[in-house]
This record gives sequence, structure tokens and C-alpha cells, in this order.
Amino acid sequence: MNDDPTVTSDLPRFREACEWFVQLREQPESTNLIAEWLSWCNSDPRNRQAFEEVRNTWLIVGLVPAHTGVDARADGSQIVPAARHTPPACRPGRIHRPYKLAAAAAAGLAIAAGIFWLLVPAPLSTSGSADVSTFATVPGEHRSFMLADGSRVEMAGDSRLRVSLRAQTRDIELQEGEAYFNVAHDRARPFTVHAGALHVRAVGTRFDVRTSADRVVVAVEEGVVVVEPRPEPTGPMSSMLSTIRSLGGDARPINRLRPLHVRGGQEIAVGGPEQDLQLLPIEPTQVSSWREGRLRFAREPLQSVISSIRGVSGQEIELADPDLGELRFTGTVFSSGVEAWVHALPAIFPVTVHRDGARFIIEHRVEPRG
Amino acid sequence: MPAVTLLPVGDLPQSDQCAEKTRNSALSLLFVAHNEELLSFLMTRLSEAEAREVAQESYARLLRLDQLETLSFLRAYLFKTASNLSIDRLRHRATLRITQPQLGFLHELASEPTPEELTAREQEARLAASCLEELPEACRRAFLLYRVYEYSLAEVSHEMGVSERMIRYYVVQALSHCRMRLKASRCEQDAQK
Repeated sequence: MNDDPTVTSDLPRFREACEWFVQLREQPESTNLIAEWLSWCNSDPRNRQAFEEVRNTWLIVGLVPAHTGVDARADGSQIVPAARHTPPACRPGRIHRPYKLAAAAAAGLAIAAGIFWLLVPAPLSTSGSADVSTFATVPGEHRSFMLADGSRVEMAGDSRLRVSLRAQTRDIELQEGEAYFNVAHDRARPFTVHAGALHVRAVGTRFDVRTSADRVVVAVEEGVVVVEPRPEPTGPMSSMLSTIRSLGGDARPINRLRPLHVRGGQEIAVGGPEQDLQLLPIEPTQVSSWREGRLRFAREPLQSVISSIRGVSGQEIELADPDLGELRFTGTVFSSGVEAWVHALPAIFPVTVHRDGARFIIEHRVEPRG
Repeated sequence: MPAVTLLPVGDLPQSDQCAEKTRNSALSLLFVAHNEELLSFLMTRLSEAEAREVAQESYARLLRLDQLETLSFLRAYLFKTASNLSIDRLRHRATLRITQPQLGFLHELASEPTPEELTAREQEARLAASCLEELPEACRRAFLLYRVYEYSLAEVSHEMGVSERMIRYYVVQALSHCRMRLKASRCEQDAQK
């Protein structure tokens, strides 16, 4: 970039461009506004430039929620000292807070994550006589079936779910593992999947839910699902509560927030070792790629990767140390190539792998001292 | 010194032999003069790839107009059409091949990002995260709701019990701060090279 070091000099123009940006987002259909904006753009080429800059900043900042949790803490140290070298003139006057360790960045995101854990809980509907059935699969099994309401369920291996169909509600309890739902449309009868610390409510849509330990991942192929926290006196939610309180967050507005809508082409992951929340884009066609034996992960804790692999392929993999489960894996695992994947792990992570009968065991790599 | 001159706003010759030719050249002028603005306008809500598609479709519709109109009308029509198309897109997003643009330029890629791209993005995201962390609490919350959760100004204002004016101020404040930090870090990186 051909940066003028005195970036503050064009700040007023940038702020003006921000105002236009917000205004255009708010009223995209106002012809007058567009005409005014165009003449502003054309009155000075620097105006256009400033507007482009707003757009770029907007795009980069939008990456934030996809990257929460421990990583900001682990590597952020490279970024924050860089900021300290910033000439003071580059800082806008209003922001005087000292730069904290990037750990605090993670904490800030925990607030964003926490917002959605503090919603008014929706009680589990229990009225009316229920048609309750339980389904379970063994590792490596893939079962597909239709529910009485016409919805289709595809279960990955090593999964357990309980279906309760009532006159007013359809409740699925995903107790373990992963399942893909193609929900029969019925506005009068909400279809809710309860998994880990979450409720996932859908009307007519296709989505995938997987859960292991206290982590839940919801990926939406088409339509919209509403994700809200499940009321739980203990567990992830209460620890999330304490996170927010310890940060001195004001609970009042948080409580009034509405449930999070996850749309087609989005995946949300909550819980896990750092109690984080990730909202990631996902190709809708990839939502249930596990059915074809392809498991896609984006910054997934290793523990949860291993559970998914066991479900789909039946391969047992054990972590010698639970700490290893917090390593984040990004990539694709083919259920036909699990062995190759396991053997490639030492190339990405500081681990060694050995075989114990049918199982693989992953251990910390002990570096030789020299 | 404006880089792009504004088009004349007078009437075009009507029912002339070469009216169509005149109109088409007027349209291509319009295209040249306003394509960048149109894309910028669309990218306030759509990803770059989507914005380009919508811009093209808008021009296609403009060419299909039967009536000859004034250029000022055509310009307004162009942006109006583009705006309507973008709103349709947002509504039917679930069925689109391209996923959510509000999550940033991860969506710009038609294919899966390479590990290097992911790493670069993660670095920028971390930087963005630390920028937001430096913001005062209320400012950060307002901005996250507006940017990430796509609330409108009115909705953020309602959630936080603060006036829309204030929310707008917070958004501008957050963007200005992030831009300053991003710029500073690029200076830093360039200096290291």
C-alpha cells in the first residue's frame, strides 16, 4: 500500500464515507440518497477512495466471529506488540485504552459468544401424548429413516437420538453423535433438535447437527434455523455466565437479545474446550458431506474430530492426554483414508502416533534435548 | 478534479433513426461512468462476486427498456434495479450458491481456501478481534450487532436502549478505529520487508 504515514489526516473523510456506507445500507432503495451519494463520490476522487476503504475495513472486521477462542490468545502476541509501535499520531484521540494482551481479545469475543447463551430459555414442550422412539447406531453405521411426520433423518455412526412426536411439537434429542435432518414443513408443529447446550428450531429446512462432549455444531444447508441456549443450571451455560460477569459485562441488554438465526450456508459451533462460539460460512453442498464419507472441519477441536471419525468410519483413536483434544484441526478427512490422516498428524501437530491393536494412540511428541 | 465527469442530464433525441444507437452509446457511457459506484453501492450489502452479478443483470435490464429516457432517469433506474435485485438476493440467499457475504471475504472464494489463505485470513481476523477489543464496551457491542449479526440501526438501538444516532456514531467510531489499526499493521509489515 502507498501509505501516507499521517493516516489521521484523512480521518474526517473516512468518517464521512462511513456515514454514507451506513446510510446506503439502511436505505438501499432511496433513489435520492443514491443520487446524493453519487455526486459526493464524483465531487472528489478521494471520496471514492475513502468509501472503498470503508468497504475493505468492513469486510476484514466481518471475519471476527469466525475466529474466536484460544487462538487469538496463543498467537495474538505477535500482533499486539506490533500495534505498540504505531506512532501515537495514528491513534484516534478517543481511544486511550492501553493495548491489552490479546487474551483480552478472546475475552471480548466471549462476550459476543455469550450474548446467545443468555437468551430467554424456551421450555421443552411436554404436553400431549407422545410417540417416542429411540434410535442408536454403532460406529461406522449410517442409517437413514423417515419419521411419522415425513421428515427424513440420516444418522452417522456412534450416534443416539430420541424422537418425540406430539400434536403440537416435534422434539429430537440428539444425545450423541451426528444427524442430518430434512424437515417436513409444518408451521404449526415446530421441529426442535436438542443437542448439548442448544435448542435448534426449524420449520421446513435441511440441516446437520453434531454433538460430542459439550460441543455442538449446527450446519444449515437450506432455510433458517433458530439456535438458542438450553436452560441448564450447570454446565456450559453457567460457565459462560461467569465468563461474562467476570468481564463486567452489563447483563441487561444481553438478556433482551433475540435468538440467533443460522441461515443456509452457515455453520455455528459452540462449546468445546474454550467455550467459544464460531460462526463460519460453509458451502451448502458440504453440509452433510459425511454421508459420502467426507468429513470437513474448520478449526475443530481434535477431540471432536476424533469423535466424528469414529462415528463415520468406526476407527478408534485415542488421545493419550486430554490436552491434545484442544488442538484445532482444519481440513478434510476421508472415511476411507483415516489411517493416512492419522499418520499425517505428526506433520501438523507436535504429536506422535502409534498403533495399539485396532486403535491408534496419539501422544505428545517428546522433543529430544540437545 | 473529478475523475469521472457527471453525465449530461438532458433529454435524448426521441423517435430518431439513430435513437437506438444514441441510447446504446448513452448506456455504455452510463456503464463506464457508474460501474465502480454501482459495485461499491452493491457491496455495502453483497459480496464482491454477487455485486458483479447483480450489476450485470441490472445493465441487462436497462438494455431491455423500450422507452427512451433521460440519462438522469436511466441512472436512477439502474441503481433502483440493482437495489431491488440485491434485496431479492438477500431474501433468497439460502438457495444461492454463494454463501453469506456478511461474514467477510471468505465468501469471495468460489473454491475452498488454501491453508495459506486461511492462515492469512486468520491473522487479519485476529487483528480485527484485537481492534474490537480496544473499543469501549458499548461501542463494541453495537458494532458487533450491526456488522456481524446484521441488525439494522433501529434494531441495535432497540436492543441497547440507545438512540439510532448514537449507534451510528458507534459504528463509525468502530470502523475508524479498525481502519487505523489495520493500516498501521500493514505499515509495520511493509517496514519489515
